[in-house]
Amino acid sequence: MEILNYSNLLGTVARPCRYTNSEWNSVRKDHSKAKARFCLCYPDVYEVGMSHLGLKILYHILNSHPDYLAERAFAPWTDMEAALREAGLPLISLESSVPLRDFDVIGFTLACELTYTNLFTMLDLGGIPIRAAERKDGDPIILAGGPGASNPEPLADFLDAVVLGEAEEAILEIAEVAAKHPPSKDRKGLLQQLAQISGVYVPSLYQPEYSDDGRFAAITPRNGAPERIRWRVIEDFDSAPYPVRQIVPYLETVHDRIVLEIMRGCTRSCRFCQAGMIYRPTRQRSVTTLLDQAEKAIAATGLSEISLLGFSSPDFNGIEELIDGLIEAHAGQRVSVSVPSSRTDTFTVSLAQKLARVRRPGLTFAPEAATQRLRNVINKQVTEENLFDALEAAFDSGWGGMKLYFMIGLPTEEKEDVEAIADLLERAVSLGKKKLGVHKGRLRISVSVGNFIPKPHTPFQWWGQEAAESLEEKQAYLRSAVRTRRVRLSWSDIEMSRLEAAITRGDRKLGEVLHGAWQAGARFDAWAECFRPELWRQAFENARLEWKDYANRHIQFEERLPWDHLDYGTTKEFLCREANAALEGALTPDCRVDVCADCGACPRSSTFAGN
Amino acid sequence: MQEIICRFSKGEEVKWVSHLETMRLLERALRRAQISIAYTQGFNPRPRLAMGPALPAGMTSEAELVAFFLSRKMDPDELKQRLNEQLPTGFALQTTWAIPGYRKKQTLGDIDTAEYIIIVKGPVEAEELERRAVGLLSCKEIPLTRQREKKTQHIDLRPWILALTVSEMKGAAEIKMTLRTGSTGGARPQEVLEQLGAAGPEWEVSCHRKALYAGRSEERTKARGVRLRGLHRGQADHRRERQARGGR
Ligand code: SF4
Repeated sequence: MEILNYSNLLGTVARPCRYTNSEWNSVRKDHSKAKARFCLCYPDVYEVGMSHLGLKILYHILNSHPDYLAERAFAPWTDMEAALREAGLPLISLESSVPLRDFDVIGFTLACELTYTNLFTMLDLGGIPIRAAERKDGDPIILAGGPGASNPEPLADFLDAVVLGEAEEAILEIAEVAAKHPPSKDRKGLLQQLAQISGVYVPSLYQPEYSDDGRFAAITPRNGAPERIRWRVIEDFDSAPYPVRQIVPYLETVHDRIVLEIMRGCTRSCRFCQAGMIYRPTRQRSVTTLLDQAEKAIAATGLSEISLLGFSSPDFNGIEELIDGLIEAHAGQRVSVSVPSSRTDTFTVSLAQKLARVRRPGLTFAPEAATQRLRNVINKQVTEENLFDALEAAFDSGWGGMKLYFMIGLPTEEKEDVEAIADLLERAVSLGKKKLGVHKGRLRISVSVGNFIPKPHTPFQWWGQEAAESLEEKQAYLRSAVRTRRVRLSWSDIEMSRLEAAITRGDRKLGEVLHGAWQAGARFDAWAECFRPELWRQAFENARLEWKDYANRHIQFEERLPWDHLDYGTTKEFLCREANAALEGALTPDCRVDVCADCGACPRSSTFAGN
Repeated sequence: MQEIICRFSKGEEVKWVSHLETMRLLERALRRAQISIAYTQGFNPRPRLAMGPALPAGMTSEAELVAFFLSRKMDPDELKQRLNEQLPTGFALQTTWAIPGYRKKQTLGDIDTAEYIIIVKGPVEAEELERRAVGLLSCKEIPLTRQREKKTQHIDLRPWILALTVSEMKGAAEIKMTLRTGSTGGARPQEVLEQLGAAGPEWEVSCHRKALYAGRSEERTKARGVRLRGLHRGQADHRRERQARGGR
């Protein structure tokens, strides 16, 4: 095992703390005593990766086990990559400064498709062959998981195994297998064993077929691998491990706070939302558990903010009791609580008022669409009245600023729907001016306009993304229609969304494009200052594939999808039903408070297939 | 309200932690140690602490200073012990002093002199560097332009260099420098290295801050009956400073 350091490089790169260790609560264990050694990787910079709760949970689970160890590595920023290549140094783990190639398992947390190229950089700099087929006995197993791996097909040639769904339990089963079959001796055997673990997908054991027109046709398992891989879900969420001794970074990270996971999953069934489809059913922790976790986490980290994580935190049963409890216990230490919420109603405002006792939180509402018709299509169960009541309550309680989220390019969207956004903003501004009166100078509405991206495992997975030109027109229209200084519009980059749309619904052929773009220099594609669409255009061309075909094509319901063998609980019949309901504008209620929509993801459903 | 001053060290493993990051990690360590720090008023209350002069990133130090303002009286030794248990490897409180009585004026505001020990290894020998140092000290003026974002500033480095010596050390050169620092202006070690021609990619440099002094205002500090150990200047420095001034 090699131990290296970067001391001669750090003076020449931005934010050297990204590459140093010794943060409070980081864990350093003895490599020679560990039976399975993991390096948990996040293919983006430290500040982004360290904000991810999933990575912290797995770090904690593995390091709490006497036989295993886990360290961390993040993608080096472009300046550091250049410095490493020039110095001929490999990418090393933060904790023990060991090159990635010396670990048994490299576990990538994938949150977004636009981080894939950084995964290549990390493998390459870590001294590991990028293609799975080129790895030999002695090379680590490359594992991936997270929402960005829910359709891992484009990365199939580069990954050894993928965990579907929630990895808390599966990671220990993987560690156990890795300890028994060290990858240094019997890589093949280890992969076979991993494929036997429920929720673990070993892409190399599956052979895709393509039809004459080059499109994906089918995929068949080999060597006794299962036909379908069923996702993992934590049943007893209340007692699922939660890392109270979270690492406290020196650098300011994206979320510099204690993230308390109050609930998991969301069954509001917004039809565009992948997270709401692949993390089912909704589960929540008890208030007692959460108060206890918060207290321990504050004592162990000294952080001054707690953020309540859940897809729709105000839906938490007992949210007021929880917030009161947290404020009562910790306001004295000036620990503030925040509830990142996109729920659009007055309740959200009254919660925010409670939180303002220590520190005033920002307010965010996500109506997503501006007409009732379109909101029904996407199953966003918010009325205009809800929104304006919420805005009014916010202005009345002294908020002058808030954030609104909209999307353009949604299925069935018409010109009127986009015009309605401008109209709605105008009315929001005049309400704000009226309500704030003499303080109307404080009125600031930030509006983020995203581009709809069809995601696998959602009812909208069959829709193609709207053509770039048409999205551009809509952006241009809004830019000219919304003229008031009180509204600040921000956009997501259209080319970037198009790339995400292409990759997220991709098949294995796309691997060539990913690899080609990376070789040509694509890095940090989610960062506007790094994203270079021309490299991708060229990479598609070189692989003789059409970007458009992947991003913008409407797929027929009868077609086989590249991710059909990856079972995230919801049945294809359910997704189909939802797609048709969308076209009719019919609503599907939240099964947490209403009838079961028979999605197949939990025992309440007639089609539940067990876990 | 009680003011406690701490001198702490910053080791090799944390030398890239910036000034601001150091401040944040101290705040968090205070919360972990359950020390009753006072808070500022207003919408966004912050712990009341004041840092001494910023240490440039990449340097180690045995002389960093921070003042904590506590809402409840506490024995400085107890604070030292409790906080040290909560500091990441590489940081350690060395000495703590309680400032008698509460004064509006910030004690650390008086700090205006810093001493550095810098080991450099590169294409120029120690002997030559020593010659250059003597040459530099004999200059009447060392004009320099500083670029800060879009503003250009013309400064004279000379009055801020109080002492500068070079000696050979195991094939490398050991440079000791005493520089003015603080809000009224000061020199950065890097600037002096550049003047000596001992900076750039072909140089291996390790910088260490040895001491901070309340130099010019030492008399005033004493007069208040506060004796800040480690903050006052040693005889040698007086001599070096006289030498440096004599060179003008
Ligand atoms: S099966 Fe029914 S109750 Fe269970 S998550 Fe799906 S819709 Fe909800």
